[in-house]
Amino acid sequence: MVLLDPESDSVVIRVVYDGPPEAGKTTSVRALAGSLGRPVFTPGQVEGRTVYFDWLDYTGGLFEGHRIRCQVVSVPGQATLAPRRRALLLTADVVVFVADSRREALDALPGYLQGLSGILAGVPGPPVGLVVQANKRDLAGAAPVAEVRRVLDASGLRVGIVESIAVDAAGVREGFVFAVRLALDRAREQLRTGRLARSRPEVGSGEELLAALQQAERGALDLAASDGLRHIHLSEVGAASPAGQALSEAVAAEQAAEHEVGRVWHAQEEERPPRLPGAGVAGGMIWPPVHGRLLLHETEEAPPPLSRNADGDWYGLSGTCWRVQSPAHAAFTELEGGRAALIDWARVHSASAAALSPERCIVLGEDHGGWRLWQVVRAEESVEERLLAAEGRDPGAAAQALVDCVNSFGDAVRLFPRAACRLPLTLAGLGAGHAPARFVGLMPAPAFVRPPEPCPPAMADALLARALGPHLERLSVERDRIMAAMERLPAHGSHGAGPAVAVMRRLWATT
Amino acid sequence: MATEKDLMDAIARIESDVTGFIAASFVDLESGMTLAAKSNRSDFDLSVASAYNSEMVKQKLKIMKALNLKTTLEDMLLTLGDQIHLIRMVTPATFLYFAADKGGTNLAIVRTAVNRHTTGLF
Repeated sequence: MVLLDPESDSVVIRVVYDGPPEAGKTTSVRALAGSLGRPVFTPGQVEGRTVYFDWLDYTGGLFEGHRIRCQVVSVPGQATLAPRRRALLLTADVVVFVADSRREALDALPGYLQGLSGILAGVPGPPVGLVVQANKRDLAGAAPVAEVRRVLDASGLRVGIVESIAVDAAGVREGFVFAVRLALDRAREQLRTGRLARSRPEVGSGEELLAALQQAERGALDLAASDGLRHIHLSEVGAASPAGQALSEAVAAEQAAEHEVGRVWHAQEEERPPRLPGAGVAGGMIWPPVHGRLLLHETEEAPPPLSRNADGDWYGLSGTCWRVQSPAHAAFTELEGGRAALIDWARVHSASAAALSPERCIVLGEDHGGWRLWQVVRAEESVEERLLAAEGRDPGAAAQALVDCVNSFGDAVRLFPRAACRLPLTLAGLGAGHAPARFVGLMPAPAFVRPPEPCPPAMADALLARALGPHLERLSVERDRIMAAMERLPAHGSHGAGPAVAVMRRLWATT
Repeated sequence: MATEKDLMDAIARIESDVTGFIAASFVDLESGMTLAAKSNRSDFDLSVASAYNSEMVKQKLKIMKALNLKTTLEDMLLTLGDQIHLIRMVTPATFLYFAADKGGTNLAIVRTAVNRHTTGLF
């Protein structure tokens, strides 16, 4: 709903606080209100539970010279009021998901967040950022943040995590300010594309929002609210119920890739050790805008040590999660030069999106009085690493890993020539967790971006034979057992073993 | 990252060191939103002051770029008729904005107190 209100000369954004029942949404909004010195409007509570929403209006900060007016809204957590929750979420520019971070509550977290992601995918325009406010950090049994992160990673969710103890107002304001940054990224993207609406907001107060909700619902949820609100968890809601239907609605939104090939550029090389950019990097310096800032926020949790290779590229590995790289010749003395390079590289990434792993971003960060371009890519297991791990195990594991290699390689031969730049056809660059295969390696340095070229079948066979050769040699003593195991694998389906078995017979015959 | 409480504690320590304290806030440079704020005067709108000072910092950084100065911005001192304002960068993305009565203190005291209590916060 982000819009520019000409009357008040302010950009209006909506920050929605979501989360499971009793996770601390209302407590967080009230803590934030106390911190900001603003009142909270909460219509019609029942037994202390939020029936409609909590509303907080705060104006602060500046965006492109306009004041930032934040409409902070919390949703009702009761599953029986899910349609109301959904209606509020659909107006969000950013969502702060307040989560109970105790271990016993973690299992339900991915389910809630997947449902939320589904709803947010239906919001038109640039993606809506998601910040998880890991609450109740003071309670016994609170899981370490790394564990919360693992749970979220396992569900494929990319979110920023901020710790909080809402009852003490600790961490709430930091989470809010980070959320505002994400909302401004969204606003900036709309401004850039000429889609930032200029009008007075339809809803300007808690009272107006209440009236709008009541008019839209026409009493449909009054019974649920007056019947006494039990803490029903989403897992208890039947798929056929209105709440279940509302929560199961999810339409994936994909941004169209721009089919433009990037230009090669040359910039002045910077010799000093570079400074890694953080999530506070200025808007317009990250691609993709919202998702990219979330990635940087996560990378910041454990900044990687950097080292430089012989080519002059700077590399780092954050734990085992993120790879950061700044190519040689990617340092700029002038902001304009860096921005032009960022845009060029973003175009290459965007036009290659179908072939690339999605967990990546590029960023132009300040660096010792100049600017430096970085790529941040999730470190994912490649099909080659999976094959190496399987070599020491039973023939069944090796058979499955070989089938994955052959199938992924086949995907890559088909997909990579459609990218906007030439991607290396190697087993080390193909992610093990993707079907069809995606490139999980680092994108070519901007100065080395070359147009893609087709890979004829004969060349593909030769490349695959060369890539698998050393592995097949090591596995040759188990060859018959591996082939037998391979023939027992399901032959059909998008990644069935059928075609791979034939390829492996041919390769082993020539090895 | 420092919590709001850590930042409020730092502001309280600065206030106790500087006579004539009017207001102080920690500000997110990108959005101009305050991360923590305290004002002793009801007529001093710290939210507005913080937001517009973030624009000033951004402009100063642009000027440094235009001049091709390969260094960092540490602080900005502003002397008004009756007030001293100090802006100190605590990280590349966060700064402290501080205002005090000119009659009760001087630039050296303000700078020393602010440096002492903001170092190592983030």
